Amino acid sequence: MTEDSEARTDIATEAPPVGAAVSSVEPTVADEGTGVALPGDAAAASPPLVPFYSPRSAFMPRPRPFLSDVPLFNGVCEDALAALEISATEHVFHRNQEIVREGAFGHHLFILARGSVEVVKGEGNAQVKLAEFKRLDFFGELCLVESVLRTATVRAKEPTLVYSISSATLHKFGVFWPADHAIIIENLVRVLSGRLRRIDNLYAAKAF
Amino acid sequence: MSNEKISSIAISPWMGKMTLFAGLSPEALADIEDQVEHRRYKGGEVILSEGTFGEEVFIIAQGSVEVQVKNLDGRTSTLATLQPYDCFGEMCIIERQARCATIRTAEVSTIYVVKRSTLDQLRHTRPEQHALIIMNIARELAKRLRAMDERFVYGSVLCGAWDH
Repeated sequence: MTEDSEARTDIATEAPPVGAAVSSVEPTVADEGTGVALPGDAAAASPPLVPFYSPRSAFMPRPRPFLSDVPLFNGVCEDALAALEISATEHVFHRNQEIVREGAFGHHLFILARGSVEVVKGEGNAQVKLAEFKRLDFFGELCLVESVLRTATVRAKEPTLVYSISSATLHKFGVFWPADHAIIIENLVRVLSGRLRRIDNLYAAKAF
Repeated sequence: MSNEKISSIAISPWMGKMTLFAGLSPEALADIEDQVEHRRYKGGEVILSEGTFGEEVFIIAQGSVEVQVKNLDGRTSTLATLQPYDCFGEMCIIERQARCATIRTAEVSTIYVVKRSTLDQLRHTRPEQHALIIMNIARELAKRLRAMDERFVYGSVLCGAWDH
């Protein structure tokens, strides 16, 4: 994670030099301003810049303000989100790799940043698909709320980038940001309720 | 009669035993208890019907109820039977949606009804206690989701291949 934040600060510090390079091409535009080349000015003055990628993001371009897009964290203040984002770990899974295995021990919540996964339960021929999740969805929350073994297997359907947050982290987060923690739990409950509703309907539709 | 009396004494700090209110402080419990409505139902009576709207949480004090949904072919199937101290109707407090199942009493039952406004009030007066309730609801929903997943899978396996 430290690598990652370094990569981001690199972007922040190196962005002005790129703008400065442009301003040296067109000195008149930059000089009449405050001395700081604004990206808007540069775009107006010259053809669009080649977007800057850090070496890392060239391999895995990452959606930058990620956690703030996730519906689970709706309404959480920025500082709290930043703290969570620092403590989140990222994992990459290839196609058909299992992210979570049914019956295993685990206490992490996973948030999908890229790709999609399928949730299956049972073994061999008796395997049943329960759900499919895509970007910005989360899974593994059952083990976060209750301490139980994983209840289903989650498998990546394509190359997938997920962020994981452990229950201990979330608990600690709750100590420092109780109000934001309460908001997260409330969002979580809302999603749980929606998922329960969905499986109830599926069950009713199959009419066992 | 005496049995009822004994049981009522036994459950006198009744709210603390309910999964929904586990871990709450006595003051918060007292606040809620002031605004709770008690209802009695005969056996086989419908408490909630699927598709209606409502903003209450129900807690079973005595008796038991059945959670039923209507299948596509018109038959009803029972999803669960709830026992004393279980709660229902909490999903509609969380999401403002129509009730997703019909609740029918299986026997003579006493139900406590907590209104949404009571919980909203608690959120303002004691936010940390409200957060506890939400956490309890999360735990309850997680338990049910797990149980339903299991039933769904076993049902699918028994009925043959499930085509996606």
